[in-house]
Amino acid sequence: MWKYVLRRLLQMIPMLLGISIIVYVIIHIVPGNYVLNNAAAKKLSPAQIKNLEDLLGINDPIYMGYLKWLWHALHLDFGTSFRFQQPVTKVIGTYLPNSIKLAIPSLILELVAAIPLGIISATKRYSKLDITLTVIAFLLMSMPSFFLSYLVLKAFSVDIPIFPLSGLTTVGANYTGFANFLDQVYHCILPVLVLTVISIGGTMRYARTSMLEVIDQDYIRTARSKGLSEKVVIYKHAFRNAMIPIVTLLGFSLPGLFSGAMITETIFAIPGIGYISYQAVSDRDYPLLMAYLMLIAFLTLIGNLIADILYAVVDPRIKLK
Amino acid sequence: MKKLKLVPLALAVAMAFTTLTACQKSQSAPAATVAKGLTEIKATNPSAIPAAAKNRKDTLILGTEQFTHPYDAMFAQSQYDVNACTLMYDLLIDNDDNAAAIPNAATWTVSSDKLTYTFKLKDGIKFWDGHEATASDVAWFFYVIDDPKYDGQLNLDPDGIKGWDEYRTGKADTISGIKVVDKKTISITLEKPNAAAIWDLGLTPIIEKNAVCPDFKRGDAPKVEANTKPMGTGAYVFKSYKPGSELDLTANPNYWKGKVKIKNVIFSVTAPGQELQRLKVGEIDIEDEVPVNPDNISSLQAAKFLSANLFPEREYTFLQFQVSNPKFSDYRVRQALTYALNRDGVIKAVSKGYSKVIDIPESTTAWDYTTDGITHYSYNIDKANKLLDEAGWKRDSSGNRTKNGVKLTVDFAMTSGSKTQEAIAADMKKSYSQIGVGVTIENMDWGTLSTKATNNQLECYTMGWSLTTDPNASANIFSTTGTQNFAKYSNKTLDKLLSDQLSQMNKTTRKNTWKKIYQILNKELPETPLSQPSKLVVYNARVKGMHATTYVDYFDKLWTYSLSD
Repeated sequence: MWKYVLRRLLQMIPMLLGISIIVYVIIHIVPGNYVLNNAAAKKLSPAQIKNLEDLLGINDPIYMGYLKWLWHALHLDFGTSFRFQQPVTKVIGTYLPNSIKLAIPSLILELVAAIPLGIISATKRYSKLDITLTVIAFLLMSMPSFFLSYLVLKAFSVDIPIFPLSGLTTVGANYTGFANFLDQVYHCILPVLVLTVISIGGTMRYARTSMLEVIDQDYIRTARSKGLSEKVVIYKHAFRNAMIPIVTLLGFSLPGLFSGAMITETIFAIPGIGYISYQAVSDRDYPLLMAYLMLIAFLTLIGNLIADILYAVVDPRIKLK
Repeated sequence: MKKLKLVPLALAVAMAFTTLTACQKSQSAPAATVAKGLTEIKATNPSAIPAAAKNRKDTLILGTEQFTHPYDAMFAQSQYDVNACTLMYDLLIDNDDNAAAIPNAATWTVSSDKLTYTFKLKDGIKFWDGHEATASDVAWFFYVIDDPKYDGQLNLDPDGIKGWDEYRTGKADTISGIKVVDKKTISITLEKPNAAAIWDLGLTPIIEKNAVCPDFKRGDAPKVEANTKPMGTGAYVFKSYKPGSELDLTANPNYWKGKVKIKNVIFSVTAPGQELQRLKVGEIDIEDEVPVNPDNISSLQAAKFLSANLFPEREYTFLQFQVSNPKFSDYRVRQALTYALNRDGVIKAVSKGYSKVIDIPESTTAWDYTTDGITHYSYNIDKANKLLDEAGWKRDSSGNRTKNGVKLTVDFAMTSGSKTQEAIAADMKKSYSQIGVGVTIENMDWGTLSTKATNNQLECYTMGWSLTTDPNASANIFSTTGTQNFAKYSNKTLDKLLSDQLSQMNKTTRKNTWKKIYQILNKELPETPLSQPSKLVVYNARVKGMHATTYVDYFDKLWTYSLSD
């Protein structure tokens, strides 16, 4: 098992290298760069443009620029963000935690709500309850996050003003410690609600399908014919098997936890990584963009690895070699 | 610090709108016109102020769109950062509602050869730490901006300060044009007369060198940039900054201009689209990014406790035809394409009457604005056809205009999602077919569009320019050698006039020159002006003393505001 993990980790090195080359090349061949995007506004002369480009190191040929980036990255130096004029690691360190504050609770809530609903739906296949849940699931899945966000805000911040309209903290109140924690929780309730609700549908359908597959298996029939109660059949025999694909979903959702939810963050004015990374794309803020994309790439690979390990953990029939 | 900047039209339109007719109709509150083009909408029932705002006795919360580096006047990244800096730093000069320069922290004189500007700091101006502001602090600002490693947004190169390049390139250890005369006096010498230079030299913030970077030398700009403890003389003292969400300021008890009435000021980042809602629930007190449209105006009036100032914005949008392209090089073709576009209809439909269609690239509230000898290009297919005939573009058998075997077509580049651009594209397709001109439409993202536009790789696009207090910014767009002349337009007579106006210190003479310039621009259409939007500053009725017009932003005079009980 450990040998397997180590081998997979080693395999990640060439993969990350390959990804970094592709990402680097793509973001550099897109027209425009940070200096040119601002050149018009700043009335820069061609000489000044050249000077600034040299200063930011964007005049190097792509391969040289990449090698320099790689060399620094290997020393854990991801450069300075053009826009924020701060080390990229600091910028990500400032904004990423805010995104995680939304992502983790909503993932937990999503699983807690979606799995039981999926199972109920499966066990009562084609009942009125199942159909109702399915319709609701599709409704939520197809609802754009911005629409739901505005709906929720209208209801709970404007019409019945019990939650704040925006921000992660109360403006002007410099709480510390536990009070600060409570304040942030209070501000996170609506965005977390939105993120949870829009993702519940998908996971619920996933749980339902997976459960339905298991329920039709021979060993479930055997369990039933043994005279076991329906509860034991479903929650002991069927549930564990049905959870195999769901557990692996957890691994795949890892990068999602760190990539930020751009639209929801923007509407709720939460200073998260989603909006910052979007801005980095339109600004052509190469160092920030590279670091962010590589972080996501790394987490995606790690997520895959975790998913594979979890497979073996939940299903003893699978052996990792 | 007020700089000309290229703004994407999508942004320009989101921020948009003007003409007062539409809002006067729906207006129940009394309106009074104070400054040029200003309409005031007054709250009808101030007692309806929400408790959240009422309970905030000594704190004013301002909405802003985003923050990147809001506490450093030298490295501010966006207009929003600059706005916040206005409260923390005093500038040497200021401007009034008519865009005329007036003394602020300093008085100034200009030498008889028009080359040397001498600024004398007023007495009693102290930094927040109690130290006196000196001429060396002012001089230091120029050294930071001229530093070879400076990568901020300011650019004073076009002003032609003596010795500017020599210092940057290391040929000299000082900037020869900048002299500290005595403790309070600084003189700045230019290479040639420049009537617009006062706007760059005078809009210099006073920042304490000894508090930020006492041993500054060439190449130290990054050190200044890394500073997180600002030190200014402004009405509000920097307290704390929460990245991307909030900037807290507190009143300067020893402000040299007088007592600052509101104790705490907080800038809070507002999500786009939430501006008015936040005002209505009392989360913020003032917001200047509320989109201008009839819905928002009636909505703010319905709230009863919100007041607003509505005025023409310092910005205009235009349609660019690639002048250097043989298809569009004849100004009669550009005139024809302008006549054939229903500008009035499109702008009215998109802005709901809150944008004014313009025919010259200047604010209708500017001192140099003119309608004398200016043609309004109203929608006219016949004139357009006639002009194209005259220009030698004849219809071929299938009805397309051709000349020397080249077909007259327009490839319109746009960013998706902008209502204005979509409306223009639709109107072009429809109208240009009537004059035998084919239209193709190309979608691209803003970064690509702006890069291609600045490299003169697009046949046709729309964009916006923000307008400055001085019209000279336009010279850089229309003169042959201008760095913002992306379309490569060139006209010798115009070049002469543009350089003449710069040395004309007499305002009447200069205004006359600008009239001639606008007449040429109006005739030759190096760019087709589209519209000037309006701006709306909405505020809670508990804020007393609001002053916001085209040329004076609301935070410029914020230190004089007070809060009602």
